[in-house]
Amino acid sequence: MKLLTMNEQILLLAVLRLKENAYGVSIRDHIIEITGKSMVYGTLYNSLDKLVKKGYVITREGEPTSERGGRRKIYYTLTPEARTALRHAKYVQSALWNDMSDPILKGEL
Amino acid sequence: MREQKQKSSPFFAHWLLKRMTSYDRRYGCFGDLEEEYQRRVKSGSTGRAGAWYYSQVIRSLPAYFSHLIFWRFTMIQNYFKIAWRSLLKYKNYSFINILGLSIGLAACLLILLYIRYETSYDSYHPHADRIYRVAKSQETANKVDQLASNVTEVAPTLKERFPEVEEAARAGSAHFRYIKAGNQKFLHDKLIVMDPEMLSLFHIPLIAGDPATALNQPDAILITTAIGKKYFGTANPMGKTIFIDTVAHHVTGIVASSPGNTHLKYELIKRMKIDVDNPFHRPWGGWHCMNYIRLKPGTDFALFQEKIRRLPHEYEGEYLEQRGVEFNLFLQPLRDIHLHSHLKWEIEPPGNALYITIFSAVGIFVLLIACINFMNLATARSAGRAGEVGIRKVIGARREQLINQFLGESFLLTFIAMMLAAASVLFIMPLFNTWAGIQLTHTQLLDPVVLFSAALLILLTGIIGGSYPAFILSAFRPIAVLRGSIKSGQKSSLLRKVLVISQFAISIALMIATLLFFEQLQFMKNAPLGFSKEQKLIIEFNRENVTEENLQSVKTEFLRHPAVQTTSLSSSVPGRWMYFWNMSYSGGGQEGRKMLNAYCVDTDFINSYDIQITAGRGFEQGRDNNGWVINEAAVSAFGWPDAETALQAGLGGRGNPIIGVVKDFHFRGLQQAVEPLGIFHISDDYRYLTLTIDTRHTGEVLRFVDEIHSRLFPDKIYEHFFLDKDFETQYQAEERRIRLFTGFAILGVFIACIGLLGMSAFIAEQRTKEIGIRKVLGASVPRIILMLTREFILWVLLSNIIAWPIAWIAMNHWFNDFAYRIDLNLFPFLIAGILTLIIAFFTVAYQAIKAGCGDPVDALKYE
Repeated sequence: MKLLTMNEQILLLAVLRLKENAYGVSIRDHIIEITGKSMVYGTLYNSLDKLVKKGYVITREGEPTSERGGRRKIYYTLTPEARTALRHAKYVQSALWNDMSDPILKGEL
Repeated sequence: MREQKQKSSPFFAHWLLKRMTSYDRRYGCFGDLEEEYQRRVKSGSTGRAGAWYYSQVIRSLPAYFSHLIFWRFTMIQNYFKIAWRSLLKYKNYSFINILGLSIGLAACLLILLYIRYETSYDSYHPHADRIYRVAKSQETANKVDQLASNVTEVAPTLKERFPEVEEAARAGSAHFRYIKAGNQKFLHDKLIVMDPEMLSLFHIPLIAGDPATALNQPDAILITTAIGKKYFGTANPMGKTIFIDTVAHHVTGIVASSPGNTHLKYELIKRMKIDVDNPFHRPWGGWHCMNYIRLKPGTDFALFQEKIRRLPHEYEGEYLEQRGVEFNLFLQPLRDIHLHSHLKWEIEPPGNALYITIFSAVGIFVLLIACINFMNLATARSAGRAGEVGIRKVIGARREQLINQFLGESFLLTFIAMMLAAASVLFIMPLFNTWAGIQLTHTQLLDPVVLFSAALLILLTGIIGGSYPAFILSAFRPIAVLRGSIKSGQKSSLLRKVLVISQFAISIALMIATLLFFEQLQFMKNAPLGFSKEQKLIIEFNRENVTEENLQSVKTEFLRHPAVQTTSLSSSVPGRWMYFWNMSYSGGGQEGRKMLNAYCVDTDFINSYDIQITAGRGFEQGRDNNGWVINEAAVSAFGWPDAETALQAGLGGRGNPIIGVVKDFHFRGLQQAVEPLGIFHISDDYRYLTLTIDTRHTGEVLRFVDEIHSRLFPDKIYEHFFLDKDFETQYQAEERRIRLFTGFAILGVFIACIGLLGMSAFIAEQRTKEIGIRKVLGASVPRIILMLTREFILWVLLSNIIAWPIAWIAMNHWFNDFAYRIDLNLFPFLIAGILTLIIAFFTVAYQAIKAGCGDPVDALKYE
């Protein structure tokens, strides 16, 4: 199984956390909040597009709302593959950090 | 609050976003941006929200483009895959296509390089556009002679008197000088004499030595690196001594070898020294050489030419008027000298612009033949691709996409062919160089003009070859295609016929042209020349060897060998250089001045060359030989009605009588008409000794000659040659051309034939079932072969009918360029016709036999 990239992890985790409310604006807001870095919509859509292609997320159309100029929201939901991939990523992550006693890494310095 | 809510997003950014994206439905992209925009409008100013919107859109551009390229690339990948598969699926066709195309393109590239080379003559000099040669126009009552050489006074006078002249310099060829370096002697190395200014005017770079002073000393000499190696081996040639006609010169500089594409080629360069004390010299009427000037930028060439036109008359007006001669100057642009100058007294024989046109046409024709193959096989194959087109259309391909796909495929094929062509050009270049007598280098392929033309060729060929499937196939309606109601490109079969016929017409015409040209050359080589060139051994030696005193003894010495039948001394021999004099004549009711070619000969010349005397007598031992023998062309040029009248007249200032008239003989190659010739007897300038020998004893005679020469003239060197061979060197240019022509004609026929092979294979394949059924019903193999070949043979016959008149007219036109030409006869036409028929028949028959001998079960079992 292919390892998820950091970008993919960030996106997928955002979708996971936002549960039923994962759509363009909320995902972007969430990412900016967590990473502290701005993200352009174009980049976001390209990345989401790739995740769709890889089969990690599926899309679903919501109801049109007036604040969106009468346009529908596109909601994203994780697929089982994405969940497996995330679990794997988490395992790798913790294995990597396991037993690290370096003071810098521990945040002591 | 409500007002704010209705604020719409910035118009331009919105428009831009719309152009960029089809995301709307997939991502709700507009919705997302709109939502956040409204949020920002609510919490801050409209302006800042607008700016945010803009920045989002613009910053998304890179992402958009990468997305775009990604999908395009995916599609192109698919195109490549399909193109590759169809290349492999139709291996034979692809092979024929690429092979034919690359041969055609290679031929085109070679011709392009050749033309580029021929037209590039002397254009490499800095400011070549401002450099001119000042040529001489000598006009007498009814003849204008234009000479490349001009009197030596021209360049210095122009430089001195006209401020428009930036630089002026002279150069001349000092051919046939005896060069001695160490113990070696050389005769034919190209020695050029020139003014020191010439080095900068023609930009002759010095590898060693100081260009400013190198030619200052009268005994200075510059040599090329190659000559340095030849004369002195690995030693440094600087400062070494080289003897020229026994005068010592010192090497003061080494120059780069002269490029092939200049009319002034050099191997040794010596300072020009004008011997003004010589009694023969007269200012504005004496020594001649090449005069070059560089005009200042912005000088009006025509105006300046008019200004200097009658300059010689300012200096020698009286003298010229007395003799009724107009002596005018005119300017020749340096770059036009090679192809467009037809002046006398060139340093080297110039090229011929006619052949540039002819070869361009040949190149285009060969490529056309290859293109037709390409197109034909593409249309033939299109049947197989129709299904693909249908499927693509059903899935949603637009017509433009299909056009792009097929054109792209065709470009890909052409590109591969071009790469192969370039590689084969590199490979064949040395051979081509010797064939064409030029010096192409590999780097010339990278010349911007060549690269650009190659790109253009790819573009053109690609479009021509891919146009049928791209434009016709892409228009098919998918339902019709997929239901199978469009079969095997029926519509295109007429087009294919026309193409094959024109292809063969071109090949046949090329073949006829080659055969006729060959006939013309044979005619020129074998035509009776009016003198005997057989069994003539010529000794070319130093003109100081023979004087009035030793003349007779020299001749008898060489005559001592029993195999030597006659000996004769002369200033030159047929096929070599001539005197060319402006000669006054009077008597026989005519008076005036004319240009006259001249030989100076001894009393045996006319007899030993078997030149026929038609009136009067030749020069004879023991009689007063102080007179002229002229040819019949001179008789009519001077205006005398017959030879007898001519005998009443005299030539030259002292009115030396004309004592005899000889029949015209070809003292030059048959490209030119026989010009007026005068032969006179003076023992001053003998450079050639003609021995008529018994050729059974050639080896002996050569040893004998060597022995006698070294005894009579120790320290001197000589060259020997046989006149018949030497005379033929005048046809070198024609021989080169015919070699090139033959090569390209063969290529053309070959490409046409492999095209035919492909076509016949295709048709046989198409009719597999028909053949099977016919065989089942009892048709014999020969009948089937006949059935399959009949159509092709008909095509080739038709091509002949088209090609013959075209070739006839074209060749008639071309041959008018020769002074003596053959009359066209049907023989070459028949040969070309029959040959193509045979070749075409066997090509097609091969496929037909394969198809005809097949087992009908194989052909029919899939039904």
